Amino acid sequence: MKSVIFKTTAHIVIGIMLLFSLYLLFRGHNEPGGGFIGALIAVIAFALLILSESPHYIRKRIGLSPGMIALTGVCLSLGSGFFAAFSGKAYLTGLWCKTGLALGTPLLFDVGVYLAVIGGVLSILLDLAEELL
Amino acid sequence: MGLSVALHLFLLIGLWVLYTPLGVSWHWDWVPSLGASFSIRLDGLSMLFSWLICGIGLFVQLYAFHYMKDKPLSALFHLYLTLFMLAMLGLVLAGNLLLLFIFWELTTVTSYLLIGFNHDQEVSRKNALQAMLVTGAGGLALLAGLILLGQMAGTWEMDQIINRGAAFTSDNRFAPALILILIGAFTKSAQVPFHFWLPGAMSAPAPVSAFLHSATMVKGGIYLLARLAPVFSQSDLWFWSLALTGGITAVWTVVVALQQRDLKLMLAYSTNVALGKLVFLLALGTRYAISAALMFTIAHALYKAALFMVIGTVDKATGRRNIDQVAGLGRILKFSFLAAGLSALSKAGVPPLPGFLSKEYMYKAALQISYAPTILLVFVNALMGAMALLVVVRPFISKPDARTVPATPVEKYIFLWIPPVCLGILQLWATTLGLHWLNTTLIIPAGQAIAPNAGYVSLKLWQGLNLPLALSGVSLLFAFLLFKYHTRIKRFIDRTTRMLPTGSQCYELIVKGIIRSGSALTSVLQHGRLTGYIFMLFFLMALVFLFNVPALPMPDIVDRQGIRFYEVLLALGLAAAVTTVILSHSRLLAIVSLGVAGFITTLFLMFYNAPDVAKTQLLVETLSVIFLVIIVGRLPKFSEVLPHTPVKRMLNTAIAVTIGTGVFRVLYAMSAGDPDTTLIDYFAANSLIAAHGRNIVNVILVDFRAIDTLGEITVVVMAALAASAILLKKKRTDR
Repeated sequence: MKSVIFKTTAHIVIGIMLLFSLYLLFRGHNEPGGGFIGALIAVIAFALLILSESPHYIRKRIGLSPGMIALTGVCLSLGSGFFAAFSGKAYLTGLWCKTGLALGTPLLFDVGVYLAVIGGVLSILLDLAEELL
Repeated sequence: MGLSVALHLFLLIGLWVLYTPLGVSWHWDWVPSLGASFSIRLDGLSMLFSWLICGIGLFVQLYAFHYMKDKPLSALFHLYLTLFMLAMLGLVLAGNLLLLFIFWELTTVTSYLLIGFNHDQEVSRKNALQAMLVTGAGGLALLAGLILLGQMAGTWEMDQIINRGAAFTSDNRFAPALILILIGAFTKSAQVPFHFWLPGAMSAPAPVSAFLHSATMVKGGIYLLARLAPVFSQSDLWFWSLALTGGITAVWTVVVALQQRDLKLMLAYSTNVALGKLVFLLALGTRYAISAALMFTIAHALYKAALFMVIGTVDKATGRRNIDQVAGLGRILKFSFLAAGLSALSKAGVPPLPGFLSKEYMYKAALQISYAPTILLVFVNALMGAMALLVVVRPFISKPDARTVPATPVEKYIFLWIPPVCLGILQLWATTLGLHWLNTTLIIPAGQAIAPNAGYVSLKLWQGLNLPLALSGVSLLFAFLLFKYHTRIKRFIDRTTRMLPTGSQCYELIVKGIIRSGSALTSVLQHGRLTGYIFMLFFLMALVFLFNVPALPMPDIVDRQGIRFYEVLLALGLAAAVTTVILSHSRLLAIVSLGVAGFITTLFLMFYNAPDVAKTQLLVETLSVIFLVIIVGRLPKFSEVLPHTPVKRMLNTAIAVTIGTGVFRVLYAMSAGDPDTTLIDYFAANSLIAAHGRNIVNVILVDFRAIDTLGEITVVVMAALAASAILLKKKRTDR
């Protein structure tokens, strides 16, 4: 399994996949994509690295524990709703800045989803891989 | 401790200032949408009970001050006692059914803490739990009953419900509500067959017994019955269930009480008797009966609290509570002897004490009805009188003999004797100088709250020579005789009741049965075999499909829009992949084929214009394959696993076929009709305008239904946490 070809290509492919996952995340509001799909692609990219290198390699390179990433994500999504709540609207109502770029709290929410799913699934994957591989 | 005494005094005075015999009430909104309000209602009945609670509570706190001084956590004890007192006070002052229930449960919880205060002893823990389970179960029944009552009345406010009085008798929810409320009241007030928790609760420290079993906990049920009497008392069901339960409780527990040798247990069973009598009197419901019940409530609270305190002091002095081991304490514990003497005379019904007065009116009430209740009351009162003599004569007056344990003079601590002596003096005062005051401020207004139209008169100590007085004399005489021949009678009772199971044993059996059936059920459902779980899951699903899918007419498939060739190809590929999964002899092949089936499904989704769903499906399939590949390396080969038996195979096939056809039929039925496009139209129209997004799926996820998504990502994180908890545990145990 640990052939040099697989290892080398994996590193290249992963870069592309992570980039693509970010692209999907940000274009999700208007085109097919979004936080959940982007996150799954990112996790698959990491899975490729787990298989070609080792779970330990991933943990070392990410630095943050997956649980922390997931927690950050949930908090981000949870917090994005308060912008509306504090400006007198219902919790989680989407707020947009009206100028130029389409930036708004739903994007923040989607980033939260992205991080939560990456963290959650990656955590299971890493634990399992460390247990079994 | 000082604080709690101050609180008691403050409450006593505060209640007195606020109280008027006609009743006052306050109202704050709490949960207006549910009709639950924080309403307080202070009328004669509430006043009588709340003064008993605060007053006895004050003396108990004082008594506990010395009694618990050397024990660890005595401050905590005072705190629990105060909390319990407040919960009890809330119960008798609540003007809203829901509020009443909340306080009812609070008394259960706080009494658990008090009964189990000596939690280093197993018997203490066990009995506290028993008391809580019994009263807690009754509390559930009560909740159901109160809800039914509230539904009948359309309000939770007790004022309005009681004013409507007997208007509910014809409602078909009347009987269930009544029975459920009665179960609640009977468990709290320790009526047969729930009586056993009360003697069990005697493992509590003496102040707890003095408080819980005189004026408070057990009187909670009596209060509830008295409070709701205007609503229910017109019905025959009320009369018979109260009269029978009360009568049986009184007779049975008084017999059991005579068997006891432990002074505290004797008092405990006689509390059961008193409660039985109170329920019985409430059943009669005439003005004499209610006056007697109210007077007896006061009398019982005073004398029982004093007696429990005295027994606590005896225990403190000698370390024993067995009636055979304590004697001749009259010279050592002089003040306790005084208090115990007064209380026992009141308990036996000797004039002019409150016990006598309540007995007079009891007989009056019973004579108005018929001879049966009169005989019952004479019997019970005679035995109670004998008990009273036993509790005092043997420990305080009899000569010490060989079995007697020497006593230490503990009365140098004034808090051990001041409270019971005060209670004793209060009893003397209650029926002499204080009788007029008691009548006008408490008993008559309280009586009017129970039965408004009965026309009450003041209780009088001397009513001339009449039958009730003669009956009082007769019961005293019998009491003396019973006391004299007590040992012989006890032997007789022991012989005859040996075969009968005690309530506590039945409780044990029931609890054991529940635990055993629970673990049996768990071992059936939670057997730990994955195949078994999956089988159960799909079996139930198959059942649902078998019975719940309407047999739709199958329209002609060819009739529908033309089938394209790639659809046929995909379907064939899917069938081939699935067949491979079933027939494969290698796990890896099976997993890969399963993946192929998933990817083909994704293609279907692509063709039907659902790119987001297709993408998600694709990625989830990929991840599943990755997960399975990681796991599969560790699993045994197929050839090493025993194959299923033919019967099992047939069953699995049947389930699979049922689910397959079922899903097909559901899907077909769904696509056969015109789909409802309201939602689609709404989202299509609003997604760009309101949410600035053209991808409807994503807009729904992050904007329209964002809170659902929030829930879902939380679930993802929870699953991750659970998984790592399991795997981490494994790692730790491996080490």
